[in-house]
Amino acid sequence: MSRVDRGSAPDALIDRDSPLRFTFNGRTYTGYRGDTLASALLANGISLTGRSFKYHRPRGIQGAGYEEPATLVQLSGGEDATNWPVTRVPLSAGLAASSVNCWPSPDFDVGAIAQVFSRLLPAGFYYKTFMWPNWHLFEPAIRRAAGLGRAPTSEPDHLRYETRFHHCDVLVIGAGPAGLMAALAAGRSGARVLLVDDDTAIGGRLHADGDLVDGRPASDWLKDIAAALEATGTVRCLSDATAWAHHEHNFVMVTERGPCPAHVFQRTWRVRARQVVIATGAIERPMVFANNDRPGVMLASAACCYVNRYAVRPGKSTVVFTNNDSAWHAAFDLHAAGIAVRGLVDVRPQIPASLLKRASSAGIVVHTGAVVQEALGGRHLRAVRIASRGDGRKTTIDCDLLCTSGGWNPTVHLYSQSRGRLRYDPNLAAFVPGEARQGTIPAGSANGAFGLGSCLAEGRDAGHAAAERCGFAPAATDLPVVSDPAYRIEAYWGVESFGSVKKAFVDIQNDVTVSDLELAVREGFGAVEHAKRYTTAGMGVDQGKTGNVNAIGLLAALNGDDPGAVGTTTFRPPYVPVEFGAVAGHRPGSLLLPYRHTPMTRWHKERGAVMYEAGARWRRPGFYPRAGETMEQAVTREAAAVRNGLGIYDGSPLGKFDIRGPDAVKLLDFVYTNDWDDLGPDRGRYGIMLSDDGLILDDGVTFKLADDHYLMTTSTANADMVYRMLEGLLQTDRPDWRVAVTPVTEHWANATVCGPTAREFMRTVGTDIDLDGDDFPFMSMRVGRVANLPARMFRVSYTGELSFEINVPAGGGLQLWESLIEAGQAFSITPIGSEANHLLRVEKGFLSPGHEVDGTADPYDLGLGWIVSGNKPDFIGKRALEIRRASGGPRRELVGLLTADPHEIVPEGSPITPDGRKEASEGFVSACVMSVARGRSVALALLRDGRARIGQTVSIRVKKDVVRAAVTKPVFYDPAGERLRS
Amino acid sequence: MSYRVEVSRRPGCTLFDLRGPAGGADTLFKRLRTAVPVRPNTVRVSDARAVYWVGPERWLLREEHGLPAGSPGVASPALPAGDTMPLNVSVVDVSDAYVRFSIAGPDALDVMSQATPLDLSPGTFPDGSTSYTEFFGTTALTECMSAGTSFVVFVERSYADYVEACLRRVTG
Repeated sequence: MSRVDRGSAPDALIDRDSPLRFTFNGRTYTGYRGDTLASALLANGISLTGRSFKYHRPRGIQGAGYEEPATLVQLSGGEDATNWPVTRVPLSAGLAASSVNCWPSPDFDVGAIAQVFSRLLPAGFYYKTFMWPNWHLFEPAIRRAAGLGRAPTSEPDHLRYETRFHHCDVLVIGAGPAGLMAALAAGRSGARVLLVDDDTAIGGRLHADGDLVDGRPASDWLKDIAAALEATGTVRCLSDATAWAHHEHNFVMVTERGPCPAHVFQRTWRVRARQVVIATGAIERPMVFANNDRPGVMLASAACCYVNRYAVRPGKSTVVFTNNDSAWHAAFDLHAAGIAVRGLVDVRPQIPASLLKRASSAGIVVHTGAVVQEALGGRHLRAVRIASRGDGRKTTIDCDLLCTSGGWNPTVHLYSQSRGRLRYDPNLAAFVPGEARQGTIPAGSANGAFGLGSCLAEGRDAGHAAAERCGFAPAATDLPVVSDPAYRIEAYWGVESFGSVKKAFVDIQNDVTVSDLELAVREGFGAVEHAKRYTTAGMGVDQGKTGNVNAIGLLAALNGDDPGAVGTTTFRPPYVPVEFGAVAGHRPGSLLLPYRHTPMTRWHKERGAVMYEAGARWRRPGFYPRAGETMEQAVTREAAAVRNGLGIYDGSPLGKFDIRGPDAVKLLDFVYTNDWDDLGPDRGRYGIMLSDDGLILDDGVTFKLADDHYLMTTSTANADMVYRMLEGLLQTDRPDWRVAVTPVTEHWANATVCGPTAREFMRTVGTDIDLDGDDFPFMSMRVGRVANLPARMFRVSYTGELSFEINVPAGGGLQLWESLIEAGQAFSITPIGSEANHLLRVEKGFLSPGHEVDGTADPYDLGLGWIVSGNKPDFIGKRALEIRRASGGPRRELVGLLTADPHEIVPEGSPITPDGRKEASEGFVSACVMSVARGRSVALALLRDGRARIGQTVSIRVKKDVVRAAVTKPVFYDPAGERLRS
Repeated sequence: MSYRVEVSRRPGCTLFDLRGPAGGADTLFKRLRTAVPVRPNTVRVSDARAVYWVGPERWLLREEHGLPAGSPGVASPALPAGDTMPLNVSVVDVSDAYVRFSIAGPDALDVMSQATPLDLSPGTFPDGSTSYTEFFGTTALTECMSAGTSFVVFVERSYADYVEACLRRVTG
């Protein structure tokens, strides 16, 4: 176990009374509650924490938050996860983490051999190198090598992800000084406010910078404002919660880690806000110079954060390298924390006198008009070589920490996602929010106001403005008194190498160097989006949070342009990596998609039915296998039972609509192709609906229950679509029609008995309905009682056999089913699934949506020209149908097929081509089954000019073979329909 | 610790789907001696009868006691003797089309917000509010019984097992 070196920062957010043991790369260390893995590792003197992505160079910790580009870790144990920035892993007891992208360890990494060949591996080398003989030959190995961490292999059973919706007036993103003031101002105005922050504690940079607020430590002010927020009663705060996507209409995704209750691992909030205040702060960018990735090189702001927030000294002696004022304050902080500041190197020749005076009092040697030319050291920084920008004179300074600051980038990612414009501000050398495109207000550092005082003021004003836009009058909110030092910067993009040939990294995570960008420009990929893709700059897990603007600045310098003219690449969600579980939420496995049950579903399952979806989310029995039966055997047995005896199936999912009103017939006449005004009471009629383009939309039987009252049935899969069509028609095109359509699919359960003995059986069930064929003919209905239940009984058949469809209110569905099954034992009643139903309908040549009705067929194609009325002035699809028919072109027509080999089952969808050649098809097989009636395979197909080709032989292409088949009429069983009408 | 909420299936009730022009519906509701919701997306309860505004010229009538008399599918609400159903109003028995779930407890809003994108906060969805909405990816009618703490959800019967499984899972 290593030593723990903690400073004495009075406002540190660690609990020194709560030590925590953890392991990193197999070794055990100790930290404190409140630490991150990064701060704990630094406190234990661990500086080499990983290896780089491409060259396997040694890497340390460079940042303190989500911007961390250098060290990603793999978490194992209960919270198996990968590619976490080491700076965003809260320390917990028993935490086990390891470095990614190295083997066997960061200290000795076999992959480091890549450094030897690094000059041969410029940007895009693999695009150019691995072209012959085939990229896919190399792809698996390259993808393995390019991977970072290892994806979890199993779902953490004890941890649940959750998603929820949330509505608020004002969403404030970021609980730094600006965000806190915005939330307070909006909350006091009466607005419902949601305040989210990705840190575990509110305050943002206040914890790192050591500022005074109202003359007191910032921690005191934070306690006060937390109490004030709670007192509003309208502000809800989420900590450790990251807003990662900002969509249209202020729809914002926020993922919260470790929320209450305890069983929730992560919760994703889908927030709909009327106004959004973006107070996401700013991210410091590193300086670009040779070996700027060495362990020991760190952002100045991160170093301050470790010193002030975590009481950790990341080094003993440091050099600070900058181009702006903020790093000077960082240097003073580090000096105050006991770190020897060996030098302060600033690219600017002129420095404000107040800063020089303060540095002088601290004994800090200042090098103005100078740059760090190179970091020296292997696995850890040991010195830096600086060079004068004027005469190139070089000096070496020993140090184990180099703090760099190339300026601050407003965190504009979410603002840009919201489609807000960005503009380049030369005074800040950064991109700042421009014109907003929806109700979003940037504030504070995210808006380029880097001073504490301006952050607080902008935050308050933004809160007031947001609340006012929501209709709330602004309430008085005082600003605290703070010092607000000026921020001055001179843009510096690191193009001066001063003779060094070492690698200078622009995107540290993706190992993109200055020379890579120079190569991109030389090869014509100088536009920012091209350069990004050519070099992969900004395409890492960190999405270039520290590197992107440096890359843009460098491209501008190389192109002799202005960064504003180069522009930014597109900011896309997610802002930070989000686990798939956090997006999917509470619907794993069986709950991933909604499913529907009939009242009889449990019965089917208990009898071993193989269940699967059969359209519109209904789970239906496919078949009921007996012990030792294959699927084919079970389906054949079930179909044979219907042909020879008695079968029963659950027809509840069939779409059903109650249609009432004086204009009911008018509606039916308009949506179906045939005539409806002469349908008698208690009689049914088959109908076909067309789409506007004259193609078959759906089919079904509609019964007349009474004058102006009908029951329409549709296919299961199309029921919702038909309802939308009917409602759309009545609400928009024909609002004057006095007719109402009410879906009643759910209200009725259906059990259908079918087979030659169905009538005889029904007489034993107990019903007051006269079942005689003359009194209750085919395509009619009766109302009465069946098995002591009120029922509607219909004589319709989809199997081609004598059938009785019995509908009862769904609450009695199971009772009906069980009564029928019990009474049917004497008839060897056989429950059949959708597979047997399919077989039976193919034998009869009945249509099925998704098979023959495939969205390209019209009634004539399927031999249903008889159902198209020539008497009606109009129906949906009439004009398109007539135009198509008038054109006289060849059409695919429904035919039957008998394969040369009677045992051949051709896969559905198999193409039919001339002589089986590999060329454009002339049709396809829509269904093929082993017919129990014919004792051989039979198929239906749509074939060009099919009806004229009956008697010919066609060729079906199947996998690696061609099957010959004779073209027949599309009915293989009881073509006269005597059995179903019996 | 899981959410402090109780999820239960409510007993069956009689439901009628009513559609028709406002004039005809007014006549029907007068004959039924039933209060009618004036504002959209509200429910009016009187005695054991409730009327839900669920769309323009569309209502749902709930009768807590008793099942409709007469033949299935052609039953109608019990009118006082001598009164008849207005001809221009479609009244369809949908009693068996829905299963009702009660979600009640201090954390009811936490559970409901996982199911529906509707804003159910007390200020927006107070007592007596009702609306069709997405519910775990299906469509359901939500009714607020007590703002923020008690809701009843009418789920299409076929989705009831799925919705119940979802509710069991999210309540912890």
